[in-house]
Amino acid sequence: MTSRIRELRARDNLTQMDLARKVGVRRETIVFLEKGKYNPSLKLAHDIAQVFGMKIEEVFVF
Amino acid sequence: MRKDIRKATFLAVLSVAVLTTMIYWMIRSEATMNLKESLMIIIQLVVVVFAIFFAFRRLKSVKQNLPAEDEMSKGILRRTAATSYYVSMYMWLAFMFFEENIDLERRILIGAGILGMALIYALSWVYHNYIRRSHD
Repeated sequence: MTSRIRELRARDNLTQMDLARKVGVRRETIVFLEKGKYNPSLKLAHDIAQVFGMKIEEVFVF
Repeated sequence: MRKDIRKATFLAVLSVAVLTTMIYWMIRSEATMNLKESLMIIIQLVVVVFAIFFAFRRLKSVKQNLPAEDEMSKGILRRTAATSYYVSMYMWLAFMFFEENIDLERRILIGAGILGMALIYALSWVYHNYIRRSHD
């Protein structure tokens, strides 16, 4: 699974730390999500998609 | 948040207390250390340094207004516990098998086993957190 988190963060001018704070996870988790080395839970995927105002399937690509 | 700070502070204080006691014992003890004792001291140091690192990592997260643990780090801790349990079983099995060949008193052997378990836990965490490529 890959994600568009890095691209969307750049679009919204958010740092990894900002996104981590918004969704309530550690910064390392965002790093691993961006590298595609971690598959998030449904709740985390939903929270991240909500931050960017998009649907889960638009942020995470299976 | 306060619970996270309390837990991290307790871990840091405990680690520093163990480290201080070790240093005090080494200074007070006039006996020269042989290879086995030196090895045990080194393992204790590794375990204590790991605990201090872990405590400060948690404190750093809390200071940055981030959770001390999240779903990924909890998953890593679960896998670390499972791996270290599995490896520790083999370590105790090896101790039992080679018991007659190991020149140590039983109580020291048990102490070495407990230290070994702590070391295995620390190494498993490092493996799962930094070396393993996927965190699913």
